[in-house]
This record gives sequence, structure tokens and C-alpha cells, in this order.
Amino acid sequence: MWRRFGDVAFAVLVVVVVTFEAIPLAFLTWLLLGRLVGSAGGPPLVAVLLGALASAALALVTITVYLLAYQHVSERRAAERARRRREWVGRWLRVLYAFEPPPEAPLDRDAVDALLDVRDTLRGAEADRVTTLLANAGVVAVLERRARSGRTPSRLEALNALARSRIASTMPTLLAAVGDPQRVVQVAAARAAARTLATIDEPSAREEAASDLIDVVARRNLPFGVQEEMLLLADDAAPSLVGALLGREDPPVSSLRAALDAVARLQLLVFGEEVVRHLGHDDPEVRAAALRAAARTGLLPPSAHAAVLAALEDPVEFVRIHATAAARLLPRERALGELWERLGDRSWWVRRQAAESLAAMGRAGLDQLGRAASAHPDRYARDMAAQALRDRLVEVVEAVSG
Amino acid sequence: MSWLHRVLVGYQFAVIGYFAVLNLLYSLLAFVGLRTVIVYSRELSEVALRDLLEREVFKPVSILVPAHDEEKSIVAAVRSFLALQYPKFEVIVVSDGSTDRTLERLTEAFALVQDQRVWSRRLPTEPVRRVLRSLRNPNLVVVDKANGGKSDALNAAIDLARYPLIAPVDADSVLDAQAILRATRLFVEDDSVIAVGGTVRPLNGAILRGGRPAELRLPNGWLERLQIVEYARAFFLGRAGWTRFGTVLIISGAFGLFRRDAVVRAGGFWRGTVGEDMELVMRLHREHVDAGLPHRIVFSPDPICWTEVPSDLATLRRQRNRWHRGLWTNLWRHRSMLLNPRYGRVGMIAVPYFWLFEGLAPVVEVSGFLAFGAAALLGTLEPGLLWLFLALAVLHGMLLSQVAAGVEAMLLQRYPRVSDRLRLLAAALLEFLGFHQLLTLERLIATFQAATGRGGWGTMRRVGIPGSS
Repeated sequence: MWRRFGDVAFAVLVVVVVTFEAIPLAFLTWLLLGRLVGSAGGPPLVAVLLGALASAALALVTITVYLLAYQHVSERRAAERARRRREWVGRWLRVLYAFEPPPEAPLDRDAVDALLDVRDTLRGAEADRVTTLLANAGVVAVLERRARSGRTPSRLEALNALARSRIASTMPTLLAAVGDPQRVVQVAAARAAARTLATIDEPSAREEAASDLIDVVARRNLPFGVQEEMLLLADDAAPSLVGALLGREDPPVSSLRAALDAVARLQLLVFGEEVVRHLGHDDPEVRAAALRAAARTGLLPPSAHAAVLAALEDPVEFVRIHATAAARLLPRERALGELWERLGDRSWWVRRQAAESLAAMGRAGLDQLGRAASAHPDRYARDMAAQALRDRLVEVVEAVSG
Repeated sequence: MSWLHRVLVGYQFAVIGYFAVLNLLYSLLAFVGLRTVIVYSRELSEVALRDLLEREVFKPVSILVPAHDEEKSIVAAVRSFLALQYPKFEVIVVSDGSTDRTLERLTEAFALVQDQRVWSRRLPTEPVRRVLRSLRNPNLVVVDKANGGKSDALNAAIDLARYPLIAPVDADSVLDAQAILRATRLFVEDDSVIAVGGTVRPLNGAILRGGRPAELRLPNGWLERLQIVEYARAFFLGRAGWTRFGTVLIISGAFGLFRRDAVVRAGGFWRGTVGEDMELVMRLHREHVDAGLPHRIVFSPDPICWTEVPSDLATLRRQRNRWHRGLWTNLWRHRSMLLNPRYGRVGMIAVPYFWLFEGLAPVVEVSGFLAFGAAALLGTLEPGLLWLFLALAVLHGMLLSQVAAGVEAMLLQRYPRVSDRLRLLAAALLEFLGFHQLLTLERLIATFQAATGRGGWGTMRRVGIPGSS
């Protein structure tokens, strides 16, 4: 969306001209304040205004000239870079598949970007060859150095490149960046670390890296959404991360929620017991996440039934919603009865979830919805059941009509 | 020295001081805004966006489109919303008592049929006559309701919304394909974010393909060109600067994203103002602070909404009059936030700024000119001083516009033709030679109308989204 070229130079120029122009303005303000309180000292007002005017005019001309030049140069540069990048992609593919000799280091920016593009699409042995190429060309060392310190935009660019390169040896650098005080750096580094972790095949190294990553994430208390994304980006390493998160002593609520959501989304059935253990957690967000995980994985052992039944009466609306989604996993007759009750819940959203859960239960659920649409004592429950049946009919018609 | 002379001289000094402080603040906002844009441009890489989609780390969105007599643009706008690159969203169009063919055009274009739907009526609205759904687009819902104004239409749409995020958009706007994706990312990255504002750019003159601006060209009219410069300054410098301080007070009604639960808890959009977008943001700030809830309201320079700006002076004046009345209504309604340390930087910096440098600006500017004129006539002011001050005011405004145009030039989708770029630069120069002063007068009129409770929404004459016919 943005050209990452010439913007920093433009910012520097703006700082210079704005400062240059702000000095007479600040002086003018000070002078006028003095006059307002009765002090007549200082230079004549006209002289100060003339100075401010001259500096503003100079600033205006400078910025205008820069913009015209930028428009011209950036257009040509963008076209030239796109052409060179295409050429480099072709050359890297020949290096990888036609065994042409790799180019000599140092590589220019287009060559590195093209190689990262190629790396992003490869897996396995070919990806390892790209990793070797990046290391041999000294690219990794440069990216790591830039990721560690310097201006924030430059660090973010380096972290993005490391996320694409996914080289296991860069994990210490990425972990250090996750621990950075700046939130934007933390987020970019966490994303890169998760992508990199996914490429570590050796189990003990993976477990160790996962544990280190979770330590620094907990220390920095990254937001729930970032932790969840990190877990999903870790691919095959996700169970290691989830295990490290759930295995921590007194983990933060955001981490628990993220871990339980990852269990649900990635269908990590191995953590079924952990899900059950958190169904009665003190925090409603965690209870809801555990219920969500149970509903999505479809795992609800008998030992968890009491917790789900209790959650159906939870005072917190969103907990009841997720409990209603999980209730369809109860023994059929019990589920039909509980969902019938929930159709009459005081919350519209719980009623809707109850109707959707019944609709997802097949013939028995649809029969129950039909009965509810005509005979439920609660008018709102009848309306909701009828609505769910109509929606189901629309889905069927759409599926049949293609 | 007579008392009149003293008053005039004192007031002139005060006006010049006001101008100097204002421009210093503008300069500061310009620099901070530019820095925000530079960091944002690197923060959200294409890889990160792709990950967001592939791993399904997104929150579903309900796009809310209030429409009153929008027959010229509604179909093109809805098509652009339906073509968004986002995995899970719905579009809810509310025809708010339209008297033209808005509903008929929607029905023809999207094969609408009546839907016996039940929904949660948590926000009271004017009666909903019927709800329609599309046989072609399952995620399109159209509501036909009695006229109640934009806020009322938005509240009706919120009642029907199914998803946790809502995105009110104008019916004369089109969204960039990735706009929602980029904006929702901020909700993922920070749980305390309750609202995100996006950049709005004028659509006039653009060539559309597939419902989106494929090529930017400057419109033929200078009035529209001047607004392009204004929008760039307001969004790329002003709001991008305010977000850095955590003090965003306006999310444009043309495009913003909110957490539905936060908006419903706050009572939805308030019907008592014509500036419902700003009012909601101020109320969200206020109620979250009062309730001790953590919250962030942010602006992202990225998500781009394209909107049709007025092409005739009468419509433009009505629009600016309405905006300024809305500003005053909102500032007055939330006057308890003014200089109230309880509201942190919002109460101590942003709200006073809006009182002093937005609300009162036309009063100070016009009275300043009058005072200068009177002083010149009475011979108490050197004529040279007057002209120097005017020249400085104009030059500084031009400079800020040029900086904003510079940020616009960094976008991949910018005005590519050199001739257009030159005209845009010329527009930045011309803006302060009449256009700005004319709108200042309109805002002054609006100030008095707000004080006396006069003025309504006003009729907006639309040309229509290019290609919408």
C-alpha cells in the first residue's frame, strides 16, 4: 500500500523545514505574549514577521521541489526494482534447479528480496538450500544486526525479512526482539519467531525454543490476539507452544485463552484433559475459551458434563453462548432438553446459539426445533426456532440450486 | 492611546499569537503524523496480512450502510462492499425512508426477497417495515425502515448485525479491497482497541474497474481538487498525529470499525446530532473512562475508503456547515470532558484543542480579519503588518498542504500523471486564496446556528460513483 522508498528522507526534510519555520513562529508567540503583558522589548514585530515569512516561503519551495523530484524518481525506481526482482527470481530458480553457481556476495536489496520471495514458497530440502544461500551471502547476519537495533522502521523491515526467511539460527535474535519494550517490535518479532519455530524439526530443540518463546511472551504479556496468531503460525510446532503455555505455573489469562483457542482451531485433541480442567476456571473468558474448544473439537467426556451444565446457567452471557454451543455434545436426550431450555434464555444471542446447536444435531435437533417453533411456552423461543428452520431451508435450497 | 486603540492592538496581538500557536501545533502534528505513517507502512507487511487470512485469525465484520435517497450510488457501493477481500462479513444496507428508487435499484441488482427474520432490538429505532435478503449474495441484508436519520439507520443496522465488529460506511463510498482486513488487524493485536478509523480519500475523477479505483485522475473541477488536498491534510497529518498521542476524537462516518458490544453498551449512535461519528467516539472515550475500562481508539493510515466529495459549492457549504454544527453539538454535550484530568490526554489536550482551534477557529479568524481591517482604517496598524501576517498565514497553510501531498505521494495508489501532480500542488497553493476563507465563513454561520439550534442535515447533491449507472 505504501512506497517504502524516500519516506524517511521526506520525514527528515519535514523535520528540518518545520523546525526552521517553527523557530520564528515560536519567537513571534513569545514576543506577542510579552507585548500582551505590557513588555515592549525585543525586535520590531515587522522584522519577526518578515523572518517567519521568509522561512515559510523557503520551506514551501523546498518541499515542492522535493515532491516533484520524488514523483519522477520513485516512479522510475519502482519500475526498475520490479524488473530487477523478476530477473533475480529467475536467476535464483536457476541456481536452485539448474545448479547454476550462486552470485557473489554481497547481494543487493533486489537479490535478497527475490531470494526471500523464493524461500517463502519452498519447504524441505529446497528451503534448506535457500537458507544456506542466505547465510553464505551474509544476508542473515545483516538482517539480525538490523533487527537488534536502529530505527524502528528499519527493525520492522528486518524482522519481516527474518519472518520470511525462517532460519532456525535466528531464534535468539527474534526472542530478544520479542522482549523489546516497543509493542510493534514485539508483535513483528513474535510473528517471525512462530514462523521460524515451525521449521525446527529436531524435537528437543523445538521444545526448548518453544519454552523460551513462551517465557518471553509471558514476560511481555502480549495481547491475546497476537498470542493466538503466534500459535497458529507455528504449524507443527503449535503443540509444543500450547504445551509450554498450559504447563506454566499460573499462566496469564490471555495465554490460557490463546492456548485453548489454538486447541480448538488446530483440533489438538491431545489437550482434551486440559480443556476439561479449565471449564470451571474463575475467569469467564477462560471458561468460554474452554467451552469453545470442547465444542469445536467435539470432545466432551462424561466428566465434563457437569461443568457444561453449570455453564449453561452462568451469569455471564458469552459463557452461556459457548456452553450452549457445547451442549449439543451432551447425551442426545439431555442435549435436546437443555437446548429447549436455552431457546427461552433472556439473551437473544443465547437463544440464537441454542437454535443453531439444535439445527446442527441432525434430524432429532430439527424435530425439536419444529416442536419449539409451535409449542415452546416462550414467544421469543418460538420465533427463534422458526427463524432457524427457515435459515436451514434457505441453505438447503441454495445447496440444491448450486 | 484611546481605549479602542488599546483593545484593537491587544486583540491583534492575541490573534497573531493564536495563529502562531495553532501553526506550531499543526507542525507538530504534521511531523508526528508522518512518523506514524512511516512506522505503519512497515508494521503491516503483505506476509502478515496473508498469515492473518490463512490462519483465520480475524474477527467477522458487519458492514453497515445507511442510505437515504442514494439511488445514484447505492448499487456500485454495495458491489464494492461485497467484493471485499475478507473471509467472513455481512453487508447490512438500511434504506432510511428513501423516497427515490434506492430500494428498487437494490432489489433489481441483488434479487432481494422478503425475510421473516427475528433480531435483537437492543437499540430503539423508528419502525422497521421489512427485512430483505439477497438470493444472489447470502451475506447481504437490506432493511426498509421509516425515516429517522443517519444515527437511527445505523442503530437499526447494529440491531441486525451478527458479528462482533461493525463497520459503518457511507452509501456513496467504496472500500479498498483490503480495507477491512487491515483495520481488523488492529483489533487482533490489541484487546483494548474498541474503534479504528481509516483514511478517507476523494473518489471524484478516479477510473473504476470492478468497483474499485483502478486509476487515479484529478477531477476536472477545482472545488473537488481542493478537497483532495484538504482530505490528505486531515487524515495523513491530523488524525495520524492524534493517534500517536492516543487522543483520536473523530472517526469519519464514511468508514470506521467498532466493537459492536462497546457501541451497544454505550447506547448506539445518538440521534441528537448531525455529527454522530464524532459524538460516538467522544462518548466511548467518556464512558470507558467513567467505567474504568481499558480502551484504545486508534486511527490507521492504511485502510482506505473512497468517497464522493461535493462537486458544487452549495452542497459543499451545506456539508461543512453540518460538520461544524455537529462539532459544536458534540463539544457542548461532552463539555464535562473539557480540561478534566479524569479523561487524561483526551480531556486535557484533544478536547481543549477542538474547542479552541476547531470550534472557535472561524470566530477568531473572521474577527481577527475584521479587527485588522478596523485597525488599518483607524490608522492604528501599519498596513505592512497586516499584509505580512496574511501572507504568513497563507504560506503556512500551503506548506502543511504540501507536506500532506507528500504523504499521499508515498502511497502506491497515487495520482501518477505529472500534470495531475502539478495541479495538486497548485491546489495546495490555491486552497488558501479564497476557498479556505469561504468555508471559514460557512463555519462561522454554523457556529451561530449551533448556538441557536437551527439547521438540519441538508440535501446533498450527488453525481454518483463513476460507472454506477
